[in-house]
Amino acid sequence: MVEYRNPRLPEGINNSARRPLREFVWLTAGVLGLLAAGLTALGLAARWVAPRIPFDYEVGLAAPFVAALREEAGPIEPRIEVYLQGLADRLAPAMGMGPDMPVRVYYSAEGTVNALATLGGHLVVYRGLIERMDSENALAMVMGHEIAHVLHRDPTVSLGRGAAMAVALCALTGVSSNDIAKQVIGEAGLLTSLSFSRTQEKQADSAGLRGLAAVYGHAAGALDLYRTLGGEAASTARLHMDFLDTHPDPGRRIQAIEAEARANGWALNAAPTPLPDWLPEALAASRARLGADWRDSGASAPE
Amino acid sequence: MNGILVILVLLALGYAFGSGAERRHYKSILEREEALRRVMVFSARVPPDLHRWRESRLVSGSVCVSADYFKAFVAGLRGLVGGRVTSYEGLLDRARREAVLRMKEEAQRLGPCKIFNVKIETASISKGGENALGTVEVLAYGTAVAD
Repeated sequence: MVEYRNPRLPEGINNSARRPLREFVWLTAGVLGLLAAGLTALGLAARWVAPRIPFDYEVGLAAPFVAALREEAGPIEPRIEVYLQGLADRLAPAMGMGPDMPVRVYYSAEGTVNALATLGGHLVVYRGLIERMDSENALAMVMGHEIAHVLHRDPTVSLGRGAAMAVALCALTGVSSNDIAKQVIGEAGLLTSLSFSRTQEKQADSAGLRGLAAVYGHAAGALDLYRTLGGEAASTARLHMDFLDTHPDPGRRIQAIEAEARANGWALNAAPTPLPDWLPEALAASRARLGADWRDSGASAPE
Repeated sequence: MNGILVILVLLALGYAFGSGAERRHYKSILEREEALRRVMVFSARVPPDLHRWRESRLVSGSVCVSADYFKAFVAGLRGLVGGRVTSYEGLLDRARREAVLRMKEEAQRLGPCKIFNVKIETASISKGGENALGTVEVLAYGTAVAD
């Protein structure tokens, strides 16, 4: 008869997870830290590369989406669009845009309080924003700001960063599906949802201000944008202030603009150029047409 | 933002319930292991002095255990950087020991006995499921021989 013993084995040989929370914190912090560092590096790389990409190439990238952008903007309003285009054509050379970087402005009759610049020098200005501008100068400031994004190649930076991050995330998670990349590169919706950093916004403010001063000889109206929108946003919470969502902290922007205008001797209190007389009527008409077209979908701002 | 909140809630729930379940399970495992100490298990294929055993039969015990969201999340992070997946170690340790215990419980019904030729098989039953948590089945089986 064989004798067998059954010794008690110590616990924890096959289970070493004594501090799961600590492991979780370390892993999360480490992975997020590495991810942040990697993405920052990619972002910087995109920023370095973007201005070196020929503008022609950017126009080519945007070409497939122009029709969609046009459609999204709603019915064409030739008179308003020609006026806005004229304003852009005066501002762009004053801001140092060469003839090789043409800017194209679209007018959208939607009530969204916003204006945006996207790939290929395409700008969209919404009725909701124009209606809140007291003078041509104020409108010119917004457009100068958006033109500056084109000039600084911010949409390319933003897109490049998005694409680089999508590729990095795909590589990291091992997801072979194109979903992420497709969202960043292929969807038309992206053209109106590019986001820029605070530094980019600040530089755009500054360049826009320069353009404004070069065209009108003074900086009147430069502050209206943030002053009007900031004040209005504070009083009506329901309004879709998309422009303020993507351009936060109006107070600090006003200060920066004031300081720059003062340093350059651009008068902020000069008499501004009024908006054309026919404009309010044309805006109202375009709104009515939009309503007839789309039955004023939920996409436009409640007014 | 909402997505992050959902993940945090799932992590907290996973941690709370998961670690509670693990603690209770280990307590039960330790108690039952103590109670079943007399049923010995061997990896030897053939018992010594083959002819003195009155009865022999196949006994088995199997168990399915699932990871919680917290464990799966930590394991996922671990998968990015490599290293010991400690969050799954407890899961597999418990599953193996539970399977052996269930096998022993079955064997004990024969009366005083030993189990030879014990094998343990592990299978992941959440393979292929995209967002499935890690779920494993562990099967322990062997030949119980009674005096």
